[in-house]
Amino acid sequence: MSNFRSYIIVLLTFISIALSGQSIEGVVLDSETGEPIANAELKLVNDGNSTLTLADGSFQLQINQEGRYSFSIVKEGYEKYFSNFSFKKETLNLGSIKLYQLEDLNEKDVSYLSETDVNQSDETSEVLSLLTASQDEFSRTAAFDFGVARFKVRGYHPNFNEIYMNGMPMNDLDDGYAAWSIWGGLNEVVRRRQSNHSLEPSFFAFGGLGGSNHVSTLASDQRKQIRASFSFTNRSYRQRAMLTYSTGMMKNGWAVSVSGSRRWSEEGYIEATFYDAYAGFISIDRKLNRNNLLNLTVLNSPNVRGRSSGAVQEIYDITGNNYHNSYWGLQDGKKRNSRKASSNQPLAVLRHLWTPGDQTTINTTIGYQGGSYATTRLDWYNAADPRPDYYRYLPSYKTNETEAAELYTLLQNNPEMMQVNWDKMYEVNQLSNETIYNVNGEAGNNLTGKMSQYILQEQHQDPLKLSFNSYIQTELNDFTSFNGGISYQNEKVKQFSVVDDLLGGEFYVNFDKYAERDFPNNPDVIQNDLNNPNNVVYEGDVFGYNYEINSSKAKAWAKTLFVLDKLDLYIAGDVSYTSFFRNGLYKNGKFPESSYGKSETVSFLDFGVKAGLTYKINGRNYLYANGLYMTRPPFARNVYISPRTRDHIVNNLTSEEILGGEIGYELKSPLLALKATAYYTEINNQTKVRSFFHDDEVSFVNYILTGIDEVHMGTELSAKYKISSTLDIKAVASIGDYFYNSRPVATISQDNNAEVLTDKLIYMKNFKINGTPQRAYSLALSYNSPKFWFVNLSFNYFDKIYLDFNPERRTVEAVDGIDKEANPVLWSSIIQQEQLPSDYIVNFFGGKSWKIKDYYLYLQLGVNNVLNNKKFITGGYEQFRFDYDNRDVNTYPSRYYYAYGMNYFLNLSFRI
Amino acid sequence: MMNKFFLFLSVVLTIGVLSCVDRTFDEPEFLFEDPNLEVTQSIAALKAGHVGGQFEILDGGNIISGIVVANDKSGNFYETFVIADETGGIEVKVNKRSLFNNFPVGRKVFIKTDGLVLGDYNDLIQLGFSSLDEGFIGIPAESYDDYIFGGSLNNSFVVDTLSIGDLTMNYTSMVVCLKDVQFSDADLGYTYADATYKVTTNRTLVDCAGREVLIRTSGYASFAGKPVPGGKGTITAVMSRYRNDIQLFLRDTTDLDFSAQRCGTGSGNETFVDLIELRNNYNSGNNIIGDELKISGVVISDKNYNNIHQNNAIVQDPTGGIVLRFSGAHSLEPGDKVEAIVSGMELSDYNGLLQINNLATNAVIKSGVETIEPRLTTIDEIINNGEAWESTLVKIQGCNISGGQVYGGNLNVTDGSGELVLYTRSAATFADQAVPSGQVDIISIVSDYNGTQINLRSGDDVSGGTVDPGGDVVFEDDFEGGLDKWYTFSVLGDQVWEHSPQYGNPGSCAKMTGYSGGAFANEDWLISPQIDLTSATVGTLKFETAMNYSGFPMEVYISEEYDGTGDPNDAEWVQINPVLSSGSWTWTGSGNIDLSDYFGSGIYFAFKFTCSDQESSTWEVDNVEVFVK
Repeated sequence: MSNFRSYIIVLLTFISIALSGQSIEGVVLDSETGEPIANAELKLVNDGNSTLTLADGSFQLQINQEGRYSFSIVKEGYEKYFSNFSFKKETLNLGSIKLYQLEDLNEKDVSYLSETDVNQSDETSEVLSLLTASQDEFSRTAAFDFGVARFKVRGYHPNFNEIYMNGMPMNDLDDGYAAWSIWGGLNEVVRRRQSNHSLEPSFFAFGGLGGSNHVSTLASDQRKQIRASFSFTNRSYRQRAMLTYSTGMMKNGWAVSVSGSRRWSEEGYIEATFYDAYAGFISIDRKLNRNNLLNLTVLNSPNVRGRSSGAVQEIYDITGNNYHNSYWGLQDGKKRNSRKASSNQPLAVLRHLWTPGDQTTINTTIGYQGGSYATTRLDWYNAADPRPDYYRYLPSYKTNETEAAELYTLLQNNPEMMQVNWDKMYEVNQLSNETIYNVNGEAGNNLTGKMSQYILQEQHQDPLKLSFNSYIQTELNDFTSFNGGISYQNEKVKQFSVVDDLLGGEFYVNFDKYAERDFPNNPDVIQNDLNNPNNVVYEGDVFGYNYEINSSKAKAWAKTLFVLDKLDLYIAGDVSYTSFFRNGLYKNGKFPESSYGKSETVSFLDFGVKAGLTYKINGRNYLYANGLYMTRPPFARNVYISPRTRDHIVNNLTSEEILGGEIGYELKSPLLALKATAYYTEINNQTKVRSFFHDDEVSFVNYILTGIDEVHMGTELSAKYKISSTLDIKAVASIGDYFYNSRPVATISQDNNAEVLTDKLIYMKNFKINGTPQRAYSLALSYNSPKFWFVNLSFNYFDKIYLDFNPERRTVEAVDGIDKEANPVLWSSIIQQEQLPSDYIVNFFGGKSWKIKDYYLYLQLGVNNVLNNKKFITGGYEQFRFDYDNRDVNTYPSRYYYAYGMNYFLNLSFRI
Repeated sequence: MMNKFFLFLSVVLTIGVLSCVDRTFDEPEFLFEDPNLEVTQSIAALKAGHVGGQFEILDGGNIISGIVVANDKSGNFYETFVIADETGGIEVKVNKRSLFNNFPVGRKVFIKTDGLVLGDYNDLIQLGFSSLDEGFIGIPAESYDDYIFGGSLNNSFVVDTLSIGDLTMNYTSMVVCLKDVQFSDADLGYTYADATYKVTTNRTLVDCAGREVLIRTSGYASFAGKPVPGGKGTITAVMSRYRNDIQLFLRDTTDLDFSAQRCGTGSGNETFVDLIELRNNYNSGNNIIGDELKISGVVISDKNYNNIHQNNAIVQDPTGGIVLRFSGAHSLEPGDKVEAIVSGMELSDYNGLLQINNLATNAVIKSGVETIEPRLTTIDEIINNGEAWESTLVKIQGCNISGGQVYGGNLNVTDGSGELVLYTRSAATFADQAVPSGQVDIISIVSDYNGTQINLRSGDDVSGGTVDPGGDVVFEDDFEGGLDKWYTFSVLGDQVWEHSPQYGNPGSCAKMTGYSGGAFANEDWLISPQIDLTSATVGTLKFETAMNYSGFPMEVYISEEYDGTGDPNDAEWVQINPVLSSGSWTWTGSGNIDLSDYFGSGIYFAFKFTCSDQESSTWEVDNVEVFVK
């Protein structure tokens, strides 16, 4: 029976080809050089028919039937190209199709995804995700040219962008960030990516508001090669050496890819930001049979680096250095950085790819990630603040102008005073003579000695993640495809701190230095751990706080895509169940009832629906519209008021509610590519917890904002015009308006006690969302020489950049008693949000390749900020304190970050 | 080409793997030795250069040195540490927190004073800096180490142990140790300061003698929120001043040992200690009486006659006696039985006389009234048992007093066995009273003033002998002639004053009783003729009385208004308190009754007898004499 049916189909196929003789045609070119690409394989997804391009890049493929077709173009060294067309019994010219070199993307990627941006964002922990960069012109520009300005697509927080690796969800349940750094230094082997932007349908997940990305590390997908490269840069690090070897799928059914790298420097662009990173990767494919492939990927990228601080303008002015880093000081004649970040988070993913039929793929993954992430900082018990940028040490703290001027001069002439003074801390520790009574709770066990007044504390956030993920991609019929999946994530983050360095002292003690004064008659409150009171700690010992946040999330999703003649239509939905609990390992003296052991579990049930359609006017003109409604659970980080001390949960905690829509038009023609999208998004009911040290309360204060509503609206435009076969001009604009749309309630509590200090209404409606330029424009020229070299110059302009603001200043209390009419300047100085100056950056990128016999030599040079503009403030934040006495916003001035001046990345690689 | 590739590869690998990022740091070590600076000025000399209320910018090139005696560790000092040398102490102000980390107590510091400024805060001299606008400020944090140089550690310094009364301004900015002090009753239950609103607060330290000194605590001190301790004991603190007020600043509560019981109060677990035992345990100097002890005794001194300091009382128990030295005038009367907690009190020797010192007047509880019978003894025995019998009552019979006409000052008492000093304060009411001649009996308290002596309670403690009151006898009656010289008036009752020819001392006397086969209510006056005192400079009345049976006491009056006849109740009479017979028909001398209050007028004196119909005593009067000059 089946033989007969096959025969009939084959027969009909021949007949239809013979009758029609119709085809599609086009040419495949290199996107950078414009060179034709030969031997690229074009394959129709629908029926598997394929052809190879000729030497001039052209192709022609016969089609036997009207209908909707999806096709792919695959060429080694280039990104895989997907698209579709409608075929109507006449020869269809698809025009020129450009493939992007993987090298190009890779190295450009590195140039920005070097840990530079992350370094600078220490204070806000907002990392621009460049993983979204793909063939889309807008996305590429956003990632590569706007990245410098901390640009965020549509102003979305990075945690709206979902990242998967071999199917394993990479976004933390704790804070929603994807731990990008775990594959730092493995650029060669993580370049296989699939990306979906914003509300576009995704094939491997439901997808977040900001889109979704999938990184695949199948060994068989890696280009068969041995490749060595050496890079020089002046960004986070100075040198990089990298070696990669991939076998490709071998005849015995195995494929192996290994990669390793080292990145290092004594100092990066910013002083004392040393960098010391290794990376290792191995991926093994085993083709079990025609339909089953097993892959194991194990990777790790252990690194230690010195961090840098943002500073108030006063410090930049004194030091004459907009990149002044106050985290370091000289010790033993060398620069020692007090803020050291260490990451060592190995990842293992076991992936099973099952292709039961041509139309169906089932991808199943078990993922594990463990290890540690730790950052150091100075801690002190009963001593002067050792941070040189402490506001009381600055001239502005002096109430007298002459003295301020004298101090200003003194600091200018003694730059070491603006750095950490390690020797003084050692001296104080060696002078110390303290007695701890009843050590470890043993009566009469007293210890007298040099108790360190200053130590280096290392704060750990050690993850332990396990996940299971399975999804199916299948074609139900000629015009319907179905995707769906289930996933389960379990994540435990161990939060604790250890003594990293006693700095010349003999021991430290596990007391809460802030509690003693507030509760003089309660000897228990000072204990960070009542189960081990008066605990004397040494280097490597845990102290301060010690707890685990356990999060788990179960999720199911489904998507159906209909591809009709004039219309593509999709609908997707998901449902998820998320729960959190805290497990305290310390019985905190201030909260003995609510700190030790497992807390209650809080859980959230969430769902989302997405739908979209694309109207295909013709092969070149498309209109599209997408919409989304979803709820999203809070991140574990925003669930607990003060997780270091207790398991109290934020009041009125709810899931966020997200509503979004976009409409757009796209033109694809050989000379001109145009895309315009307008979007409108509401993100409502958000909760944010922020903690900071409050001088007046002498305590960590937790600021919990509930009921934050945001609106993100705007337009994205991109146009690329081919002036000649070698010269392109590209224009991109992102014109956004992102603002808060509610007056949230701030609940303020202290680490030190359970009482809620106040509930305040924050008047921040219509305040702008910070952390990104709301407007960004780019104009770029590319020249692609036929002689295997290219240069690319872009001019980028940024506007509507706003400073992160302190909610405390937007309260009735902050302006209480100020007559708005009589004191308009004072009034607005307190409540107005600061807009930072507009600025620009010019970037250069160029490269050349040589082919010498069978070997390839590549040289790439990226120079950012060619004009060395060192005055570009990319962001900053107001301090979370307000001078109620004087109502002077300059008492605690804002901190700013500047974009790096001219910086470069030079890469030389050699491939066999 | 392949070779070149592998060359490149090996270069990459070698550089990559072998290049290291140097992150090892040698740790600095500090020797904490004194800097090589020559001290040119003492702290006292530095302070002497200050004029109150002014500022002196120092430019003499001097270097001072001192040992850190206090700092800001507990937060009670703010941006200040205190140094002292053997000449004095001074506060050093630095605009920097947690100075204690650099200047721990015991560290020697050297200060180059040039450029620094001497100023005072309400007379408390401080070393600081000057600012154009704000005047006197702390030495700037960013440059203090141009002036102040740390030296060796753990140097000791002298801390004088003192009483509150010993504090003088010479101790300003030095550490002193005060003993036997406690927080005042009013401060108990309160904290050192207001830790909630960070208000600096004064509390009062008192000693058991009631002397006070202020203790001042910053609201920012780590112990500000602790309640003050209730006990008593020793405090080590920095003495400071605010103008002329002394203020103590505690460095930390570990400097305070208030484990002893508060003055005059106890734990409730005190046990009685015999006074002789207390005495026997005394060692020379000032002793603190041990825990949980109290005493019980009967007051044998009588301060009414002022032969004892108003702050002193002498108590006696069956084993011995002792002087209680109160912090103020007490109100104890002879015969009062008292208890007192003496734990923690000072036992001290005042010129040989042992006393419990600094008792609060309210620290003694009266528990009843009791009479102590004097020990009948001889002078020799008193001398032999001087210490054991000190502060007890003794009676010496048949002795003679010599060495003076009046009691005031030292007199000699002799009996057959020996000789002893009888001392009477010049302030005693009887100091001017004439000393009787002839053989007398003496009741007295054994005392000591660099040697055993005895003290009278009053002149009445000497009986017998004869006393020349001075002057001429202007009136006398031995009643041998009946009641002729007297005017009698019966206000009530049928019984009247009558002549008794046989019961006098000797011979006749005047006698009155309301008993006549039963008791009858009576009021009967025996009134003298007028005695002229208009130009008198000496005037003395004396008489003898005898009495028996229970009834109202007889009363003796003097009047300047009475006209000699009629109902005496129509005139104003002043009652006097002569010694009267205590019964059993014992003839008792009245003692010399001083009439000086009435000089310049004429007086009548009268014996007023009263009785009820329930009972009546019998009173006899004899040997009435009035001397006038």
